[in-house]
Amino acid sequence: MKTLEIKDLSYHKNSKTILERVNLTLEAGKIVALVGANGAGKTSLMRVIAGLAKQYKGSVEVCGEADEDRRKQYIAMTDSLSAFRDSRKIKDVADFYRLVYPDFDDKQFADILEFMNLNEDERLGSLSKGMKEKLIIALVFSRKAKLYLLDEPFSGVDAMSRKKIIKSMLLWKPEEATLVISDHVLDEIAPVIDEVVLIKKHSVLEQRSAEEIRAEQESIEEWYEGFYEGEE
Amino acid sequence: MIGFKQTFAAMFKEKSRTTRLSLGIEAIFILLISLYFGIRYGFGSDSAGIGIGIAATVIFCVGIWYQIDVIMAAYRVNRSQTWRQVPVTAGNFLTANVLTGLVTAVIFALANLLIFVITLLPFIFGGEMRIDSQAVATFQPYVSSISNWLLYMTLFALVSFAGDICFWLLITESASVLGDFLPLKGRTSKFAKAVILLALLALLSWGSSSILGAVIRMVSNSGFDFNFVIDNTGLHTSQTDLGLPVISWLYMLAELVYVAILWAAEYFVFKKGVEAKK
Amino acid sequence: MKFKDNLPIYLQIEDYIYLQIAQGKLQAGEKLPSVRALALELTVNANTVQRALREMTAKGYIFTKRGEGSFVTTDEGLLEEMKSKLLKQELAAFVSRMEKLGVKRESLTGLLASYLDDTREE
Repeated sequence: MKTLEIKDLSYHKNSKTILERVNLTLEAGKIVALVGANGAGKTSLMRVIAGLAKQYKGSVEVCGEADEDRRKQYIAMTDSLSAFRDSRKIKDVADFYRLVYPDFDDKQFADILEFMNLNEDERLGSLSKGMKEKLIIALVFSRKAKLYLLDEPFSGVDAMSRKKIIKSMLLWKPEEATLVISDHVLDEIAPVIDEVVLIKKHSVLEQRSAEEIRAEQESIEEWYEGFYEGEE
Repeated sequence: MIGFKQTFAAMFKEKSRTTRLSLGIEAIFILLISLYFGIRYGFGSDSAGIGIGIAATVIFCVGIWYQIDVIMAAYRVNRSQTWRQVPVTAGNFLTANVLTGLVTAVIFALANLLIFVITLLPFIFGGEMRIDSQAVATFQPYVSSISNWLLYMTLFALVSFAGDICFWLLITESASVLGDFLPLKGRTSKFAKAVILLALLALLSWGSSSILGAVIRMVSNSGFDFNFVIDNTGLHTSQTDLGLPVISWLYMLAELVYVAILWAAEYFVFKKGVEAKK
Repeated sequence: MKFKDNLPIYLQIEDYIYLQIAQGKLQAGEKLPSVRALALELTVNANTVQRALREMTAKGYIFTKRGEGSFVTTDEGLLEEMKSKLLKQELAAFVSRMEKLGVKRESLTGLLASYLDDTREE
């Protein structure tokens, strides 16, 4: 079963190319790393998939649904929670999620919050970067979505929190759901991913199975760095 | 997917926080002023009337600020990544956004009316304000007519405010769409953007002002001398109840159509080009 | 547990479970932890664990009961064979490292015997 199918996607802003002729298919149940240098178009690709970016050409289907609004029901994407002031509590944000996402699971949210050592009475402004990221992950995985999009979930997050975030992915990702994690490094997520998708020059340059790369006696990091050799 | 009702409920819940907060601060401020003048000059005295003047000014200014804030809040919701991830159709999203703006504004206006009446209470019960029975008698036959007009104008104001929200959303969002996708560079791009926006602004303003102007002319030619309220000899009409002429409803219809056009244009721009902010 | 990053992880998971069996932490006929539990314990993808279990099932070291999970085989002969394979693997690695240090194969037994003698008291 295909969870995501992108055909001939191009996306321009003003006269700048952001994405060019992207073709990508992701199967159900996979954990996929979306890698590439900063500014390669990883975030833009996620935003196009999630229906947050407009005026692109080509087709994007999530669980067979091409309509921008309708495919949102299958997608859970990390959000910086910018719509909430620092004085708001974690439970206020949960109330919002409960109201607008029919697939939000209260029990699961409570479980993940406990696993992350977060208290629902804490205010957003009092959370450290790592704690906030953990909250964002908790919110995302409290939804029973088909496609999870985590946009750089580890940037600025300490090692302990990173471990917790990775464990929570393994604990709470529904079996048949597909998880896409974007990052510009691969060290920590390498053991948990099925596939790597490399974005370079505004397009998908490679899509490989992680075990396939390792079977060639190459670590995924070496493989990834190989694409940037002689560029610095 | 969620429907209009749930979207409306969620938006109302978030937006009404600002309404409550602003009202609370405003009410406390006005209460303090009234108390200050009341204690200093005696409640209900002429000098304490200064307090009412200040309260009225504060309410007026806060009212204008609040209208702007309602429009800005609508814009923020349309551009917010948090909101735009919500699985709802663009049409329901936009309608819920405009209507929650309208509803919070109505609540705000009613609450302000209440606050003002409360500040007036000491004067009503303090005996300084007497009701002139003769004026009431002269005024009596026109009460229903005047209340008809008030109702009409309130309704008209409501429809126009919904239009106002669409109007400013359309302008600000066109600006962001042009900023994102106008395929020009540097100065040319800025110039083209400015020209397009000014043309749009002029066109839309012309639309609203022609309808609004017509309604105002109609009301002022309705046969009432509104000086009546100030000096009770100024009533020059022989009719006892004017009712609402057919033309007033035609103007209302025109305004409704205009708001619908604004909404449709905004819907198009929103659905096709307005991205969530990063 | 830390994985080598240039070797398929499913192979390393297989080795990890073989080691558990060899050390007696998993007995013949005992039930293996669930796929999810193993994935969490090792911090790896559930699909990868599944693949490792599939490979092991194909080799006969474990078997699955429908709806109950995977179990270590009760075939003692097969388990012995597995253990000796594991030993051979370790020895091969040891020998290859010693060779890199310039130790000839012939002198290995002598070296090992005297080392064992020296460290006997401790």
